[in-house]
Amino acid sequence: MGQTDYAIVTRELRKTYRGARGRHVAVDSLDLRVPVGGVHGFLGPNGSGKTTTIRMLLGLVRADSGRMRIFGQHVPEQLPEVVGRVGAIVESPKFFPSFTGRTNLDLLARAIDAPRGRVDEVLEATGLRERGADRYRGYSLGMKQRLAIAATLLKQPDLLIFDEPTNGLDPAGIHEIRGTMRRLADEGRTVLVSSHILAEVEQVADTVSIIGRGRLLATGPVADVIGDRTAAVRVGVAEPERARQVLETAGLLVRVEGQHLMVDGERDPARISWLLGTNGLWVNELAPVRVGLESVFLELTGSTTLGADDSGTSPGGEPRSPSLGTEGGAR
Amino acid sequence: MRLLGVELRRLAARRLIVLVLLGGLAATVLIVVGAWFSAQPPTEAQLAEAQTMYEQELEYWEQNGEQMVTDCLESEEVDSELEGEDVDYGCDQMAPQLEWFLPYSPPLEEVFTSNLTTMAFLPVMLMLIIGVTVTAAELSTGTMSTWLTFVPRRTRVVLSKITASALVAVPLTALIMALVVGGLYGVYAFHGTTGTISVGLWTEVVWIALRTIALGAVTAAVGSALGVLLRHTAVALGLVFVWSVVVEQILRGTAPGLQPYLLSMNLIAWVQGGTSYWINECRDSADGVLCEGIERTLSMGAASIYLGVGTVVVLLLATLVFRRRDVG
Repeated sequence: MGQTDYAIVTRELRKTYRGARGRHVAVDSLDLRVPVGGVHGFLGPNGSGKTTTIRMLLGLVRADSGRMRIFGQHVPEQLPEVVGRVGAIVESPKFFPSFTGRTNLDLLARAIDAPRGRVDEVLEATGLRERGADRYRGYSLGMKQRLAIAATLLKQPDLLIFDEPTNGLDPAGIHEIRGTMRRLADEGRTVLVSSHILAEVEQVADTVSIIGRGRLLATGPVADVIGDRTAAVRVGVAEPERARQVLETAGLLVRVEGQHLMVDGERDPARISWLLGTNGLWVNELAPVRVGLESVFLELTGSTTLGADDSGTSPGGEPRSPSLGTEGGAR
Repeated sequence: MRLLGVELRRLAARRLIVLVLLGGLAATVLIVVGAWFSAQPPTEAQLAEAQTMYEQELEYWEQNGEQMVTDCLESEEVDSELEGEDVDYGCDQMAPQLEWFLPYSPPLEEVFTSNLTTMAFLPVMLMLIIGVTVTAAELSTGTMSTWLTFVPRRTRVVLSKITASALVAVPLTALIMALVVGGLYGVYAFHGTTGTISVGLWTEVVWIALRTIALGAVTAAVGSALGVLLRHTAVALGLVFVWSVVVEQILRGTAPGLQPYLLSMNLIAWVQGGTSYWINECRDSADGVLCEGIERTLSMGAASIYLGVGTVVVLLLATLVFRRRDVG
């Protein structure tokens, strides 16, 4: 793929924050590529550097080093030239609480010289036409999120960036936002959605990048990156400790959950049954279950904890990219 | 220009402007009500009481006045010799006057020349609040980040906000000053106690008002810059309060020689077209250390340079900081 095939490209992007407890590396040599078109999930645990990356792309935060491009334009230097093609919601929607939804949008529309009637169009498109005259502070969380989406649509953008867009929403709101993102992508736009919820990204994204501790861990089509990592097998066995040793000796990633063992990344229960049976251990439960991002994250990093000693990268320090044929995780 | 227009619309839509205006109106009403009482001519009862006291005093004066004047002149002569220069105890003005016994009512001329400067700081403080909150509220609530995703040219953004604050301050300060001056004149006119107001005094009043309007605009701009630098309305206003009430008062007391460098002194000098201050100059003499109070002046020109340089520095600093700072 050439540079023009990507809506976003970052290279060796780095950002550190200074705090009372010293320097904290938020983003560390991040090489991110978001292809043009479709929904790209930007997945990572809380504090992994997703929001900081988005803020750097939008010129809200200065990068320490590295390069960023949006639609081939260097940012933040050329951000004014490309910002008209980018709509973004960073973290929670932020508008003037004492203004009406319409006034908030009207001010933004005037700032970018949007055509007359555009505010009505986006209010209509987001189902807020009837509530446009209400003060923003009276909006529900879902309505606030819809107003933020309406604001991003004022520009008729080619790239939409949604940072944790379903935070705090009820199931109906989540479903609605998910549908909106899919619809926007189907219209030919590029949608970058950051999330720490695996299922959310899995349901809506075409491609995904996973980051941990500011570093890219894996990137590629959703099916390739997380499709085979979303399974685990719950094992009930009379001697869990000995069973764990047997499975780990066989190279499987095993966690203890109460009286059960969780075998991450293994989709073949028969192999587990065979391994335990040949060692004289008889299973009383063997159930495939879906796992969360944490498990995928741990698997990608080859670590057992999300703790400070976790380097956030594969042993070689490079992101695992299934799309490039690199096998990831402990098998 | 488009951004400036948007910022003016945003300011016009903010309830804070209405609240500040209402606060200004309330304070103006208090000033005018205060003037109402002081502008009132004495009542019949007050006149009768004053007349009685005056007559008693006059009677005493007729009996003892000559001796009192003689004693006064002797004291003048003795003290003049002691001081080495002529002293004046006003021995020729000792005869009692009726107005001594009437409630004091400052003439409008005095109110305009002495009190208007103090009153001028009311709209100036209100403009500071407007200026600070224009930027600080946006930074503390995070709406600035939304704004920057639409308009990423930060210098233009910050300058549009600062300029909008200054422009809004002009009509607001003018309105409050007009109400104060008009209200004061109105109550004196109602009571028929305006006296003779010379053209020169009216000209001075107009200049004070114009300089206050300019100061209101500059203060709003500086307030916006402080909002950018400190990011919280309470912190910015707190800093101004601590500086003007604590730091300046301490400096004034401990280092009187620094008075021409105090912000408050320069603000007064600007509004009233120059001011004066006293310092003690001490020297050794045969009787010990001899200190003498000396009056110094601070011209409006010097104050305008001081305030102008300070304003430019704050605005420049705010612009540079805003260009580089991470926005949450």
